[in-house]
Amino acid sequence: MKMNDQNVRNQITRAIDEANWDLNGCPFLAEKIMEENTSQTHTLSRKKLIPMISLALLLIVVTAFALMNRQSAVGAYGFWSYEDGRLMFQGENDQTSRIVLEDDRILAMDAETKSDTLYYITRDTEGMQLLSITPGGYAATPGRRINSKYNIQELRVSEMANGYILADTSTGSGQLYQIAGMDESLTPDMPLVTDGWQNQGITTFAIDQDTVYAYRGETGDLAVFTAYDRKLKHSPVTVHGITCLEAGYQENGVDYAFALSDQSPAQLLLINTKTGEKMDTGERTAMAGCRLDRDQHTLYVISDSEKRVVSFRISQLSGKKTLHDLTIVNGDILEDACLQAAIRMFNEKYPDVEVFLRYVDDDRIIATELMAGETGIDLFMYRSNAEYITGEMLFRNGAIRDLSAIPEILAVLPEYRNIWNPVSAGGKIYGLPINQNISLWKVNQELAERIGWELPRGCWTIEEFEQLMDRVIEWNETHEDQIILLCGETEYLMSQYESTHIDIYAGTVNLRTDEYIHLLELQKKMADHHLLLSRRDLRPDQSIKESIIPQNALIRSGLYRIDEENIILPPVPDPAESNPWLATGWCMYVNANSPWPEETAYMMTCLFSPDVMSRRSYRDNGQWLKDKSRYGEEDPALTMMEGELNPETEALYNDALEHLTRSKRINMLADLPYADWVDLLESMLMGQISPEEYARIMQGKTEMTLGE
Amino acid sequence: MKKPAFRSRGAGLAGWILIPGILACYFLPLTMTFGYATMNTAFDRQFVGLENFRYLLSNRYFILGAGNLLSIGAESFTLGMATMLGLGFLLYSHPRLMRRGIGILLLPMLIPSVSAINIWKVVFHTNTLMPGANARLALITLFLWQHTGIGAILLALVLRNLPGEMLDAAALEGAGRLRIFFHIQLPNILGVLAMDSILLIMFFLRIFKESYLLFGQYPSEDVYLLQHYMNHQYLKMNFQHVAASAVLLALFACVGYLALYRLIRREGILV
Repeated sequence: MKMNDQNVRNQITRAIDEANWDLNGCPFLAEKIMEENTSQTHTLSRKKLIPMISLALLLIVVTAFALMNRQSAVGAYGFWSYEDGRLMFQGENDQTSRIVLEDDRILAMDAETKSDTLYYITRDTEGMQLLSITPGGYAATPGRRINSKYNIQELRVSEMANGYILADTSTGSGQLYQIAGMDESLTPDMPLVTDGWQNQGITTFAIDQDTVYAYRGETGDLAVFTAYDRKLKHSPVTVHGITCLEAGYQENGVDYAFALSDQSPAQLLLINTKTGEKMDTGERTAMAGCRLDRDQHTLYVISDSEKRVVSFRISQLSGKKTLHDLTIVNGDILEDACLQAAIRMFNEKYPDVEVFLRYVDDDRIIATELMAGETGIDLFMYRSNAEYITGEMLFRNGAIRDLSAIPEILAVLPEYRNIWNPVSAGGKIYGLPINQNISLWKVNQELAERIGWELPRGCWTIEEFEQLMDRVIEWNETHEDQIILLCGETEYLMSQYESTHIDIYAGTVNLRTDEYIHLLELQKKMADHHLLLSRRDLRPDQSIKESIIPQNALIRSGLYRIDEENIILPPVPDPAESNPWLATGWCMYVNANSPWPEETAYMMTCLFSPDVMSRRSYRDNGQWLKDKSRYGEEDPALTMMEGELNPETEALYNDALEHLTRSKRINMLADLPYADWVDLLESMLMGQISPEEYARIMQGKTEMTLGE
Repeated sequence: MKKPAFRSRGAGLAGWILIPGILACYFLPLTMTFGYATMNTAFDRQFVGLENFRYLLSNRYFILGAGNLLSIGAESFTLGMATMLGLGFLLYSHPRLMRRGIGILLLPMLIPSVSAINIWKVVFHTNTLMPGANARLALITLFLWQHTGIGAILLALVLRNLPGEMLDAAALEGAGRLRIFFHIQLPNILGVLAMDSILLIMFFLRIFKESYLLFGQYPSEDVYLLQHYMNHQYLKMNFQHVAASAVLLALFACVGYLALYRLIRREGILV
């Protein structure tokens, strides 16, 4: 700085000399001028300027980034937007959007087409991570790490974190990488490599449930892949002049995609991905920098400020003439492959009826709409033990259709196992069970061997269970290592008796019996000897599957699948009972009040079709059909993740499947608030009220509910 | 005597407005309700005559609900009238209390039931399993606290407006307090007592909200009201039973109000 000051001083002196100003008589003024100039130079010295300019630049960059980092994603029933570090969601019935998350590190995001779950990539100190969030603010899946060297441009997700990212990587720019599953250690991200196509220079891409569309702007190559096995569906076609792409629909085996042209105003194009033919839909947008996004039925043009500019019904863009819609509420609980096959089958007969899928997250809304006789609820998925009104009640009062009256459905029933008891009443079938979650018991084999108990194969009785209980009590009295007999659903035996002795359709209940009171005494005895560990005893952050399994628990009651080991059927009070095993789940019903009775009946017939149902995953509620060979090969990745099927459990599960009863939560049925019911049960277990009194109260409450 | 022309025109105009209004707001909905009450379900819509009425009158819980509505209603009405009279005379006898009491007595009506319920829940420990006598006590005391204040104030105001000379004269003639009450005050407040009675009945028919908040959807049998039954039938989509219950309740209410109205007219209370 001193050098700099000296230079300035010299320059001023030289300038005065050159001007021949007579300042000799006024040395003070010359000094003053020099002082002022040098002090100004001092203030703007380089050392201070650099940090100031850097700070200003940083501020400009941060502000620009904050302003530029706007993103949006269209979910099935709402719209996600990201702006100023705030992630917001606006449901289709909401007037305004609400903040779901505040995080200023989101790089890319996309929502599932079938649901409103958002997947987003964020950068933290350890690298990048794919996370998910529901509109309620909950994570739908655990996070998944992503290679932090990727320069991510775009993320597209199909379902359950399965999707693709478009990124510049160390091996090239504009590459597509598949991210499958939720755990990067099991299924690492893989570049989309396939014969006859080069994974480079991709400028835009789109994805729907089972198809990936990739477009290379420089050459105009448009390629279509099946999402699962990453194989080209057909040779890439050349389509020039596209700025963005969105998945369209499938017709006669041909995939159609939507695109915006690079002209101004941009044309909305429909592209036949097999021939490369571009069709002008006649729609234009004058705004620059737009892109496309869609939900199941609507295509949106999104502006560069991430606002929905205009929307089009996809069926109309495809040139279809629709007479009316048929709405399936919560139909997406059924596997997509299965549902889409049913819809295709339906549309073959009714091509002018468009099947809409609608999501309702509360049974009360469904019940209220049924009550009000509203339209838009032709078929609906409903929990079998719904809180306010059950399937039996709906059937009893005529709100849902009798499916046994549809001959096409009756004709295919022989191909199914006898799984209809939970959806039957008065000899009629009124629903299609979509899930049958059977309550089973899992045994700690090591403990069983230690106390010398041989696992029962098949049906066993309460008396045998009592013998086991006495054996455990005896063990605990003589050994230091204490054994818990039953953990998880510790009231299973009571629930089983209640479910088999309550007939909602007939409106009868019979709990004041010696058998039930004996079961209550048994429960009390187990509690007295500390043989129970209820899931209510868990801390909120503990999970039933992991934390509750203390090593000293002999039996765990819960929902198990056919790949688990050491699974047994729970004991039954009466071996002659034809349907003793408890199950919960979702069922599909037909609204009796639908304005389209023929179409709804046929849609249900399509869903009942063995061809459609055989597309389900055998492992997950896919054992409905008797002939196992009708099911396709299992996805090897699923086998790797979940493990091989256990033949013993599979046989036991299939046997149980044919002897199910719907689990009836008595406290729910009798509208006994859960906390009150727990208090009542605790009172009985602690001896404050007798089992007879407990039975009397439960009988009274249930009678009131059913007898009205 | 011939009525003035403008009164006739006014009455005619009022009739033209009122009659369609009554038809649209009362007669039509009641007719539709009766129509639903004669169908098997709202979905099938097959005519079953009076089958739904027969079902209701043989249903244990309909009878229970109707019985409880009458019995709890009678208890609440009797205690309510007694409380109103007591409070009314108290306010009348102590003018300073009257000035401050009006606000205090009107306050329970202004406080939303949802807020007041919390106090009752704490005091009576109410829940869905609460035994009968205590449940009734909780419900009736809440009703009295909420709805007797207004009646007491009306009574006190009417009592205050009675001519003091009349009461002084009676006292000078040697009439005692009871004699003055029964022979002078009571005949003069019959009109407001009739009004209070109607108010109490109206308020009681709306007690379901408080009962629901105190004891839940399915209370013990001692406080199970007809409104519970109707609400549950609605939730179960048995609209035909809701409609039949509504018709029966409307009939009962009409007969009750008619009887009360005739009594009032005969005694010339409100005239």
